[in-house]
Amino acid sequence: MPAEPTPLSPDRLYRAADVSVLDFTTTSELAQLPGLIHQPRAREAIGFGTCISQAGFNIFAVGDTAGRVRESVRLMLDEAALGQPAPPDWVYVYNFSDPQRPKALSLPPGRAPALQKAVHDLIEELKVALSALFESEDYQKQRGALEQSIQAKGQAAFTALNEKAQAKNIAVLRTPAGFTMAPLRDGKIVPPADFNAWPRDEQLAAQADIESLEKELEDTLRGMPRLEKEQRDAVLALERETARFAMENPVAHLKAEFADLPDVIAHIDEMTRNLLENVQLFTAPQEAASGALERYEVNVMVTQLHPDSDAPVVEELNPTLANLVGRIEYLQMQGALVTNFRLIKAGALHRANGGTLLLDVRALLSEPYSWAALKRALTRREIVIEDVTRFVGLTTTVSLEPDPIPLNVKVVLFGDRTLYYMLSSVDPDLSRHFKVLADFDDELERTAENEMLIARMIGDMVRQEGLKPLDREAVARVIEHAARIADDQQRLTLRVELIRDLLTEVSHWAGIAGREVATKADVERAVSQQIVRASRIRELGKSMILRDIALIDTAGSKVGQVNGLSVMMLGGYAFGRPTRITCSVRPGAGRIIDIEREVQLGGPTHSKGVMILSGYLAGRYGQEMPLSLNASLVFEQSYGGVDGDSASSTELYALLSALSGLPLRQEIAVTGSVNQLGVVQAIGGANQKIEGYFDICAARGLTKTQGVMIPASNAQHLMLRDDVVEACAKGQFSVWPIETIEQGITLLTGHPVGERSADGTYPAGSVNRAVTDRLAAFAKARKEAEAEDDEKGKPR
Amino acid sequence: MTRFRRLVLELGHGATDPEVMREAAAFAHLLDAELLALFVEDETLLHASALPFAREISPLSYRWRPLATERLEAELRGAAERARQQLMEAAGAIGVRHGFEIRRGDLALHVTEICVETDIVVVSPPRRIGTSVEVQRLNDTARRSAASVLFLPPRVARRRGLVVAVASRDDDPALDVARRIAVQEKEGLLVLASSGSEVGGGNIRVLFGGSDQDMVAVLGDTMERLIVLTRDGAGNGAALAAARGVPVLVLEPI
Repeated sequence: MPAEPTPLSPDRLYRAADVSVLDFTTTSELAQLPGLIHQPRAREAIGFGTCISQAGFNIFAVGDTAGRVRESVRLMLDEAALGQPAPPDWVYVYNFSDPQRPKALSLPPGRAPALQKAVHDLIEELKVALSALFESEDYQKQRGALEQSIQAKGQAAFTALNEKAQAKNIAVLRTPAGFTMAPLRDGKIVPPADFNAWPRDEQLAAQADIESLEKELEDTLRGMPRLEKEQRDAVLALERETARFAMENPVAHLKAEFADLPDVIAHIDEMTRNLLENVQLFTAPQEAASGALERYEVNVMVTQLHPDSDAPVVEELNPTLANLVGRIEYLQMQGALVTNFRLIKAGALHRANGGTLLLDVRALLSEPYSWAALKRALTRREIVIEDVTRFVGLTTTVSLEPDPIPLNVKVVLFGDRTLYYMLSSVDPDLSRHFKVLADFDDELERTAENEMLIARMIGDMVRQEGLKPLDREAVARVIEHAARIADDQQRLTLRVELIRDLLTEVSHWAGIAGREVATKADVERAVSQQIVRASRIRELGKSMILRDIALIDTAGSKVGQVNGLSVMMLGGYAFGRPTRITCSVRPGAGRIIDIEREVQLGGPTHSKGVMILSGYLAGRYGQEMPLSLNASLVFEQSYGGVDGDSASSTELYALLSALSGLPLRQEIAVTGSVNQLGVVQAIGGANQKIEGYFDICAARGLTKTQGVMIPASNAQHLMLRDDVVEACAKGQFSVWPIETIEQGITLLTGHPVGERSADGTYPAGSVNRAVTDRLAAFAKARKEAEAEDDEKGKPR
Repeated sequence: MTRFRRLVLELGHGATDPEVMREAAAFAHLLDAELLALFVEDETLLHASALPFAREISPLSYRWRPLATERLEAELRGAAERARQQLMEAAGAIGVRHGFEIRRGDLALHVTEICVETDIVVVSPPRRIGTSVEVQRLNDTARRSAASVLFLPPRVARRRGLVVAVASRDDDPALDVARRIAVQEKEGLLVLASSGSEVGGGNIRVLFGGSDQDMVAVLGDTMERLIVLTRDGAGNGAALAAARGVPVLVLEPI
C-alpha cells in the first residue's frame, strides 16, 4: 500500500537565505565583483573564440534576454582587446586612372588624419601659391609675350590679306557667321546701286579680284586653328612648368612625411602628375575649381586615436546594410544625384576591422540584406560596399565601385537561444561562420558562496545605478526573490535585468519611506507592487471564480470532477488559476476522447498526456480483459488553447473517479504529469499554481482541509508567498507531495487504492475494485451489444 | 569729383565674349554705373550682301556660301538676341543696372553720338580673328568721343590688388577716381607721378616719362588690379592693359 502523503512542513515551502553568511551591514561595504558573475562555460567559450584567429571561429553568445548577455559579452571582449595591437587606418583616395573605382590605402594606425591634413594643406598651399604665381609679373610677362607672339602671327596673316585686298580696293568684312569681301571706293563699301551703275568691265574686274582673294582668305582661315592650338599648348606648357617649379618643395615635404609607405608615395606621385595636367584648375574661378580640386583630398574611412590603441570593440545597435558595410552617399546637383569618393562612409565592419564587432542577432535579422551581407563579407574576407537601392533596382545613377578593404574581424552575435536554434536549423552557413557557441547560464546553484556572490552583484548594481544601499535583511530577501524567479529553492536566477529592476523599485520605495538604506520591507513592497501592477487579469479571473461564473468548488466531493491548475503568462508575469476538469465514461472501444484536442484547442503535449492515460489504464486494468470504455475529458470553461502535460495526473484522477464512481474531494487542487506506470512527474510553475488556488480558498475562507497536490519532485522548487507559508504553518492549508497516482487517488477519494490479490482481484471497497468492476460491466455490455448487432447483421 | 553714369559696351567684333561681358558688368558694379550694351548692325555688311556675287566663308567649315541679305539680317537679329541674353545673365548675376540698344548704321557715328562725358566706353582686345581692324576703329572712335575709355586686357591677371593712379597734380581726375575705388574696395593706392609733379603724400613712385613702357617699367612686380590715368596723348591704354594684364581706365582731361 502506498504511504499516506503528509503535507509539506512550512520550512519546505520556502527556503530563506542564510543571513549568517551575509557578512555585512549594508551593500555599501561589499567589494566590487571582479567581472562577470559565474558563467564559466561562456567565459571559456569567449576566451577561446577571441584567441583563435582562423576564419569561421566567430562567436554566437546566447542567453536569456534579461540576462544582460550583451553587457557581459562586451565586458569580456573589452578585456580580451586590451593589449591587442591596433589595426591599420584606411582611407579612400581618388583613382586617377579609373575614377569610378576609388582606391583604398592602408596606413599604420593613427596616421590617416595626418595624410588627410597634409594633402589638404598641400592643395590649399598650392591654391595660394599657384594663384599668386600665375598673377605674378614674371608669369604674366611670359604668358603675354607668348600669346602676343602667336596672336601676332594670326593678325599678321590677316593684316597682309587686308593690305593686299585694299590694294585692289577690296574690303574683308566680318559677318555674324564668317567672312565676306566687297569692293571699295574711296575707302567705303560700294553700295549695290552704285556698283550696278559701274561699267560692266569694272564690275567683272572687281569680281575677279574678289575671287582671287577668296582662296587666300580661305588659306588664312585654315591656318588659324593650328595657331590657336599652338597658343593653347604653349600656354599650358608654361603653366605646367611654372606649377612644377612651385610644387616641387611642398610635394617633396609631403612625400618625406610618408616615405615609409610605398602605396601612399605612389598615390602622391599620381596626384602630382594629375595636378600638373589640370593646373588650369588653379587659375579657374574659385567656385568652378573647388569641386574639381576635391579629387585630391583624402577620405578617412577609419582611424585609430593613437598608434598604441587597443584593438577596437565596436557594437552596432542598428545594423542596417548601410551601417554594416558602409554606404555611398549622394548629393543632388541640378536635379541629378552625383557622388564621389569623399561621400563613401564607413560601416561597422570598417570600424571593427582588426578587432571585434558585436551585433544583436535579433536586430541583425530584422534588417533586410544585413545577415546575407555579413556572411558575404566573412566569406570573402573583405568589405565590399553594397548599395541596397541597386539590389532592388531603385536607382540607375552612375555610382562608385570602391576597392574592397581586406577584412579581419571577429564577429560576436548575441541573442536568445531560440534565435540561435532557429537560425542553425534553417541556415547551414551559421555553423560555417559561427563555430563558437557561448551559452550563458540563466541560473546558478544556490550555495552560501553563491548567495554572497549575488549579494556583491546587488552591491555593484546599486553603485552603478546610483540607488540606495540595501541592508543585510533586504539583500537576503532579494536573494530569495532570485530563487523565486528561478522557480527553484536550489537555484538563483542570473537574469540580472529583473534583479536590477527590482532594486530600482526598492530604492524608490525606500525613498518614499524616508530611508537612506533600503530594508526588507522595501523589498517586500517592491515585489508586491510589481505583482499588483501586473495582476489585473489575475484579479479578473479570481473574481469570475468567486462570483461562480467560472465554476470551481473548494468544498464537498464530486464524481468525475477535479480541480486542475494552470499557469498563465502575460507580459512576463505568470500566475496560477484553478480549472475544473471533468470526465464521463461509457461502454465503448477503449478510446479516451480529449475534447480539447477534438476542437483543436489542445496542444500536442497535452494530447500526449491524455494518451498516456490510455497506456496507464491498459497496463493497470487491461491485462485480462479488453478495455471496453469510451471516456471524454474536458477542461471546463476553457476557451483558449491548452498545452502541456501538467494536468495529465489530474485528468487520470477524474477518469478513475468516473470509472469507480468514487467522488473526489473538491477542496484539493491537483497538478502534475503522470507516466504510464502511474508515477507522478514534475511540472513547471508549482509556486504560481499553489498560490492561485490558495487565493481562491482564502477568499472563500480557509477550511483546514484545502490544499494542493503537487509532484513530490516539485517540492524542491517551492518558494511560496509568506501568506501561503503562514497558512500552512497554522494547518489552514496544505501542500501534499505526491509520488504516485495511488497516493493521490487515496487522498482524493478517502478510499484505499487496493492491492491486487493472487487471483487477480482487488479488495472490496478499494478504488481498484470499483474500477475493475465498472470495466467488467462495460465489457459485458459491449459484448452483448455486439452479439445483438451480429444477430441483426449490422457491421461492427 | 568725377561721377560716371554709364559704361557703354559695343557688342560687335567679339565683345559678346562672356568674359568681356562679365568684366564690363563687374566694372559697372564697381562704379555704381549702368551698363549699356550697344549692338550696331553694320550697314556696310548689308550693302555687301546685296551685291550679286556676295558670298561668305565659314571659319568652322571653310565652305563658301551665298550671302543673302535676308539671312544676314536674321543672323544679325539672332546675334543681338544672344548678346541681350548674355548681358542679362552677366549683369543680373551681380545686380547691375543695364540697358540694351540695337542700332543700324555706322559704329563710329553711333558711339560718338551717344557718349557723353560721364560715360565710359569699353574697349576689349580682338577676341575673334580678323576683327583687329574693327577694334582699332572702335578704339579710335572712343578716344575721339567725349567719354572716358576702359581698356580691358586680353586676359585679366588678377582681381585684387593695388589701384594705380597715374597723376601729376593733386586735382588730376585719375587720382580722384583711383582713390575712390581704392577706398571702396579696401585696396591700397599707388600713385605714379612724374618727376617734379605736385602730387603729395601717400604711396608715390616717380615716373620718368609717360609712355606705356615707362609705366610698365615703374610698376615692375607691383600686383595691381587697375590702372587709372588721364589721357594726355602719350600712353596707349590698350597696350598698357595687355602688358599688365589689368584694366586701364583712361579719363578725359578736365
